[in-house]
Amino acid sequence: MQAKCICRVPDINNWTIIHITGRDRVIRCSQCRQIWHSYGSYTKELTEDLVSPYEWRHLIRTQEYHKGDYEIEGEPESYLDPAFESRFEGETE
Amino acid sequence: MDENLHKGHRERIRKAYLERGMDSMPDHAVLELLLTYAIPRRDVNDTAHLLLNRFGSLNNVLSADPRELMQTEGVGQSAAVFLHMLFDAHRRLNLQTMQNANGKVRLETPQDACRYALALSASDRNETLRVISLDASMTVLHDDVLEVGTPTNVHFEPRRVVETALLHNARYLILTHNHPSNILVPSSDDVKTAKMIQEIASKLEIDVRDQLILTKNAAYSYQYDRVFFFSTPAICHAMSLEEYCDTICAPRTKSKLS
Repeated sequence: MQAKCICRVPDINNWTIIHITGRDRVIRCSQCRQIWHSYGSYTKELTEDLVSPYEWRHLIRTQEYHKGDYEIEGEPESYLDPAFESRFEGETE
Repeated sequence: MDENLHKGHRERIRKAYLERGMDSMPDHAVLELLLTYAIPRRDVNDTAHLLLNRFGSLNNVLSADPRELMQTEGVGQSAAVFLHMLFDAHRRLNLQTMQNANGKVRLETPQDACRYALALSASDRNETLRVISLDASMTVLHDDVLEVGTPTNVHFEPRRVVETALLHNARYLILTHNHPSNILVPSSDDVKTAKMIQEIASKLEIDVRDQLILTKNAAYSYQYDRVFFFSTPAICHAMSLEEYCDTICAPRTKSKLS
C-alpha cells in the first residue's frame, strides 16, 4: 500500500518529493498540499499510512516548517500565483 | 499430454500471482500470464521472452504500437491489441485519478501539468505537439493534438494554436511536445516558438502559461526551468535540469547542455 495523506482522498496518493538527504525526507501531498517530514533513526518509505504519523511529522501543523530549512525545489508554485511572471514575454528575435 | 502440461503451467503462474502478487514475479512471468488471456492453448513462454528481448522491458512492450508487436513471432492481432489496451487502460486511469468530484482536471501547479501531459503522451512514438486549453481557474477545457511529426521533429502553424484556443474559449494555454529521443533539453526553436505564440495569443487575452517538454517519465517546465521526474506516476521529484542530467540521464545528454 502506498502512503495516504490525512486528506484521505480516496485512491489519490500523489506525492512530490521536496527534499531527500540521508534519512531526511520532506514530501508534499499533491492533493491537499500538506507537507510532511520524516527524519532521524527512521527512514520511512512511502509505503506507510500517514494517518497516524509517528515518524512523519506534519510540518505546517507543528509550525516547524521553515522555508530555509530545506532546499525546497518543489515548493508549490502555482500558475495562478498573482506574482506569476511569464518567461514567454520578450523578444522572439 | 503436452496440452495438459501447458494447462498446468498456466495455473501455476496464476496461483503465483494470486498468492504472492505481481511484485514477486519477474517481467517475463507477468508477460506470460498476460499472454495466456490473449493466446489460448499454446505455450506462450517463448513469446514472452521474444517480446522482452525485442523491446527491452515490460513497459516498452506494453507501450509499443500493436503493429510493431505483431512483427514478433507468435503475436497476432488479438494479442497485440490486448497488450496495448492494458497500457491505454492504465493511461486512462492515471488521467482519471486527476479528476475532481465534477470530473474536471485542474492544472494549478507545474507538477499537475506535467503528470497530466505525460499521461496524454505516453504512447506517442513521434514528436507530437499538444495544446491544453484551460479556463481562468486552470481547469482543463480540452486537449488537442495539433501536429504529429517525425521521431526528431515536428512543425506546426502558430495560427492553429490560436484557432484551437479560441475554439475552446481558453484563457490559458499549456503547450506540450515530446522528445522520443528521451533527451529533455529544450531547443532554441522550442523556446522561440513558444514566445512567438505568446506574443500572438496575448493580444487576444490568452496567455501561454507553460511549455512542457516530455520524455517517458519526466517533463521539463520552461516556465519554472525545472524537471519533474516521475519515479512512478504518483511520485514526483522536482530538480534542476543539470541535476536531472547528472543523476537520471546518460552523460551524453549533459553534453547537450554545454
